[in-house]
Amino acid sequence: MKRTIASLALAASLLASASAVAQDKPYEGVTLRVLGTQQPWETELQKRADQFTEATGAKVVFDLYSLTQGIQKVTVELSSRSPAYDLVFVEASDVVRFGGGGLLEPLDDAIAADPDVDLADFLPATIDANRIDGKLYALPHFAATQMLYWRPDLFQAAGIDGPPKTFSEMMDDCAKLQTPEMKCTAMRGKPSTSENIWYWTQFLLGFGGSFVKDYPDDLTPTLDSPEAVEAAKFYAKLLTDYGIPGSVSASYDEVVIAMQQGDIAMAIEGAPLAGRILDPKLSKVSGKLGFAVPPGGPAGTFAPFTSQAYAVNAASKNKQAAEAFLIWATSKKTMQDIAANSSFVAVTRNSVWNDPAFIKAHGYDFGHGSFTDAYRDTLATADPHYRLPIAEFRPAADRVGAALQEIVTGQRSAEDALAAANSDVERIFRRARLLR
Amino acid sequence: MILSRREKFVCYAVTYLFALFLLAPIVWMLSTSFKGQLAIFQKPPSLFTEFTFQNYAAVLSDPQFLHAFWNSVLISSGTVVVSVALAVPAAYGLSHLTGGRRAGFLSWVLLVRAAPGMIYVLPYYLAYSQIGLIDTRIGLILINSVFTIPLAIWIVIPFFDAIPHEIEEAAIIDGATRFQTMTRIAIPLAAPGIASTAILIFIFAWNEFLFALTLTRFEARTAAVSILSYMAYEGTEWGKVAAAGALILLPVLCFSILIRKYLVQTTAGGVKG
Amino acid sequence: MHSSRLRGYGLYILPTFLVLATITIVPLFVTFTVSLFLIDVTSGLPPVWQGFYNYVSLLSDSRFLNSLVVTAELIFIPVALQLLFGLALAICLRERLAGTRWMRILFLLPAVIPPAVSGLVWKLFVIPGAGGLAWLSGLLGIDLDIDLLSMPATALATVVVASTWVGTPFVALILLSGIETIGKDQYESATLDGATWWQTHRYISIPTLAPIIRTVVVFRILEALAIFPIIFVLTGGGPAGATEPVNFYAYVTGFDYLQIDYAASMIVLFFLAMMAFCSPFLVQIARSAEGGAR
Repeated sequence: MKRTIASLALAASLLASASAVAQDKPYEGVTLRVLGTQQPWETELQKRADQFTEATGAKVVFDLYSLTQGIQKVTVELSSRSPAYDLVFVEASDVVRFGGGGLLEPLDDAIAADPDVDLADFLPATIDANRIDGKLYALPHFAATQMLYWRPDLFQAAGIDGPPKTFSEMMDDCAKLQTPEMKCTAMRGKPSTSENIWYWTQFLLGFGGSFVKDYPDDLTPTLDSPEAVEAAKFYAKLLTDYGIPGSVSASYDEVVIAMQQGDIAMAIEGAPLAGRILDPKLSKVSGKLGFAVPPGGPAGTFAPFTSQAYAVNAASKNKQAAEAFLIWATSKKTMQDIAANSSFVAVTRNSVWNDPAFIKAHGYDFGHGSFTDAYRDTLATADPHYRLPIAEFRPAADRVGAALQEIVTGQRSAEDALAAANSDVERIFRRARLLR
Repeated sequence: MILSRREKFVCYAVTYLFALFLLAPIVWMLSTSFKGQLAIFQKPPSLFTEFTFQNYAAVLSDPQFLHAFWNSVLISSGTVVVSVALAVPAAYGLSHLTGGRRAGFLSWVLLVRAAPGMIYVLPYYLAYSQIGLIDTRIGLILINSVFTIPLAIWIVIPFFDAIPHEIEEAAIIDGATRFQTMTRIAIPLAAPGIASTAILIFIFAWNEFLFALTLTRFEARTAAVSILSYMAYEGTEWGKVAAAGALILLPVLCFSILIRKYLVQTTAGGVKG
Repeated sequence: MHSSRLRGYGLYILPTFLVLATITIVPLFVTFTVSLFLIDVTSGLPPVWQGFYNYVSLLSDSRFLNSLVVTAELIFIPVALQLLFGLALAICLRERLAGTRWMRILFLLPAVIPPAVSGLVWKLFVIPGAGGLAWLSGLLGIDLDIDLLSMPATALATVVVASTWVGTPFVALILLSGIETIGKDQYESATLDGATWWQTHRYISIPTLAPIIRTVVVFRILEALAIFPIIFVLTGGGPAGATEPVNFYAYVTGFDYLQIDYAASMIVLFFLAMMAFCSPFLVQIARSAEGGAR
């Protein structure tokens, strides 16, 4: 009898310790599959995923592709409602269609249960961009925008005080800054939603144009409007007269390199790339830069904006573990760690922006505008609908991107090229029943 | 024929310049695969700057690449088995048919083979997502067979045609069944042809890209598609890409040298007017 | 005796026939059906019948019309070049000049390289300023630092060159095997009659090869768009659609934009056009592959 009791006690204690282990590592045996893009954030996160595994027991496997391929894979995987991936990469413009289609898991309950998330700490625009009808579908790690990088030394030499505030000032400044040896600027010219359209849309909106008549009520495309034509002509003139050779097909990489090499006097380019532009090992100009909000047009300033985030696949079989990973990955601690110890700067949390270690690593200020201030001011102008959150935006914008290239290379006049693109966009929208 | 000096010169020029054109890009890939990341973007470039195995070491220690490579081996072998098993009896049967029916079947087979792969991808994608064949080796073997069965039928038929019918007749008179005639006489006689067909199918399946790209994720991803994961958004790792490319090239290279005699003959066999 | 002997061989063909029919004809039918519905896979709403709406839209889709032009360019230019170079090479290789035997093996190479790797090989070769092309031109004293893949015309030219690179050697080998069946005496008697080297080939080799040439051309045309992986790796169809043939646009539409019904309509239209163009030749080829009549 005693022995029975003893063995029962032993069994009980074993059980207790087993459940203690289970409590310790609630997701032991779970493997999380992440489908995403190979960018600096992911590279850094991958290095730190072991910490999450140690804490929770869940293994994390990354399946990473180039940006376009990654987005394409995510679209296909979500639409087939496959549980193969637990977490997927999403840009803000895609969240509406995925979330609205019930393909993403709302995160509100998980966030409510964990006070450490502190949503108020995120930059508001990045959260708003991922919220539909009051439900949050993704936790952003990357606030993408463009700011003005300028060379105070060159501006001073040309007798210009301060960076341009408007497009016309920018054009005038270029006329003064450009010398036979040095071009004024560089910009993305490669035709694609993520390249020339990402850059040009700020001109379109700044001159008072828009992609459609009245989002979301009337989606009739208005890319042949006088404002759009003006924006295209301005872009083409800036590019052909003041852009580096090869601008017609330049992507962000060429722009960054031109800036690093000191080949140009100013550029409107991605704030997240600051890490590369300012790295003294890569850049010849790291101490010579000023930072400002990009210039605007008659209708105002519209800096490019989107957020990149990860979301939980609604078809996932490990939703709890996936949510836990997402919360961990975008937590103050993880984000602080990554931001302070890598070139990744496009963080989405205010607490990181104010973190002394971060400011020490990235708080560039060479006497002509501080990087962090300019970044925050730029994001304040962010329009969550810089990219229209409709499924057909990508095919439509790709088409407009091709038209822009036709204009820049002189194959067609701005009026003709945009009229043709507009009728194609109209057809794309009509096909999707967005128009009657 | 005796060539004049000028004609000789033209011929030497044509062949050697073309050989250079043919080899230069491949040699460049091989040289890239032995370079470090910095040397790859060195301007002006040079053919051999440094010699490192680090790219090969990195690729060969990448479990994802090894997994994909192994998948390619299994999928290609599976495609060979399925296609040969189905194509050989059909080719045997067809070689005994004449006129309209044979020509009809053969032209149908040829039309199927000629359809663009894209036309199959969409329905297979839809069907596979319904029945859970996405990202499976079986699924890829099946869709590969769409192209390899017709290919195999076309190549094997001439080998059966070439068997003198007296031999088969003698066997039947000796009491062999038709099936025994096929397995014991026709197939052994056509064995070299069947073997080279098998290798050709292996190469086809090994090289296949579109289906593997659209119908796999990570479990059944093939080697050809795995290269893409080294071609990322920022800073493509060209050294690794080149090393992976060279490794993927290796098996088909060995195989095609093995069947070089048949490679032109067999394919030309279907082509001779 | 003859016909009774033939009966029963159908049994050997039937299983393969059924399998092949299932895995080919059924999908073709599905693709066509899909093209007649509006399908939104993201929302999961049920398909809506729309008849030939997609086909009508295609006619006013300038990106589609552009892809037709690109398709024609990517089929006919490379095939013409392959034939031209293939013929020249076959004629020269026939002479068995010193140090050309190994080329017969070398020439097999591009035909068996995985197309994705071919795309890669060319991508590495044209890296601006640092690739093999820059290296070669550097040897000739030219400083070539341009991005060929960034401009529409040069990107298309690069794809055409890659496609020619892949196809030519094989065309050469097939034509060579055809030329070598022509008796030496034919050439010799022509030479005795005073024909030049060029004339013997113009009046003997090319006419004799004509049927082979025709067949090779049909097959190369059908194979021309198999360079999908090359385009995928090399240019991604860009810039601005300059290297985007129909099958690539269909891929982008189906798998990037997820308009699978629209993609289906494109590929069906393309398939029909291709068949209308090639099937007479294919049937003829199948008929001439006789020899089974024993």
